[in-house]
Amino acid sequence: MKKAAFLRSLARQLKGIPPSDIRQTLAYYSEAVSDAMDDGLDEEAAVRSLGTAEEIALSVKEELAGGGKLPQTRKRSGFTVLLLILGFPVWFSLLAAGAGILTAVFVCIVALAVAAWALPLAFAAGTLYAAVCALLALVHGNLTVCACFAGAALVCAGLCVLTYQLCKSLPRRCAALIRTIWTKLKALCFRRRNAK
Amino acid sequence: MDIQLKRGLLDVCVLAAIGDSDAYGYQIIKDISPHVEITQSTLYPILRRLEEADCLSVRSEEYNGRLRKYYRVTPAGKSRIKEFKQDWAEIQEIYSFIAERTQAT
Repeated sequence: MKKAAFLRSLARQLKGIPPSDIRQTLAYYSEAVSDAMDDGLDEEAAVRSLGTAEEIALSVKEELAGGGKLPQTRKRSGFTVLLLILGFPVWFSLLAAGAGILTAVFVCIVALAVAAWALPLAFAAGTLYAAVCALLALVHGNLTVCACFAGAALVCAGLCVLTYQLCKSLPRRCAALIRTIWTKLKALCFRRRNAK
Repeated sequence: MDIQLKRGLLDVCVLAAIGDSDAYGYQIIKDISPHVEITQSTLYPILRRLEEADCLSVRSEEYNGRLRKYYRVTPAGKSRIKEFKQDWAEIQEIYSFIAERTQAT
C-alpha cells in the first residue's frame, strides 16, 4: 500500500474522534512513513512497518478512551436548543464584538506596518528638498546656507536609510505577530472544546 | 505482561531513550527496538500521553522539505525517570516476596 492510500484508510478508521486528534495522528504517521523511507525502506515497506490502519486506529481510540478523551456523541437537548435561540441576542452580540475587536487589532497591526513607511518617505523627500536648496544657495553664491542645506540633506539621507532598514522587516514581523495571535486563539478554542 | 505495568514501563523507557537530546518518533523506535519490542502504534499513544502530562515538550523543525516533530524531556519527565528508579527497590522487594512465597508452587 502506498503512503497516500494508507493515510486515507487511517483517516477513515479514525472517524468519530475529534478532528484535531485525527489531524495530529495523520501528521505523525505521515512523518513516520517519510522517516522510514529516508532510512532506506521503499514506500510500501515503510507503510508495512507501521502495522495496519485498523491496529493504529484502535490504539489511538483506546488511548483516548483511557484518558477520558474519547468523545461521546453529544446530542443537544431541546432545552439547550431553546437556550441557544433565546440567548441569540446576547451570544451573537458578544461573538460579533469579539470578532470586531480581533479585526480591529489585526487592522491596527497592518496599519502600523503601512504607516511606518511614511518615515523613510518623509526623510527621502527631506533629502531631496535640502539637496535642491543647497544647489540653489550654491548658484546664488551663498556658501553658508549651501553648507547648512547640504548638512541637512546628509542627515535626512542617513535617517532615510536607517528607517528604511527598520521598515523593511516590519511587514514580516507584523505577519508573524498576527499569526501568533491567531494560533494562540485557535489553540485556546480547541483546548476548551477538548476539555469539555 | 500486564498491559498497565507494561505501559508504565514503556513510558519511562521512552523518556530514557530520548535522554538529554531531542529525538523524533522513528529515531526513538530505532533506539528502543533492539532492547524492547515496540511499534509505532505503541509509541504514538505513549508520546501523546507523555506530552499531555508535560513530561515531553515538542517542537517542529523543517527537514527535507517537510516538518518533523522533535521531542525533548522536560523537568517533569526527568522527575518521572528519577521516581521510577527510586521505586525500583520497592518493586524488587515485592518481587522477592512473591518469589519466596511461591517457591514451592
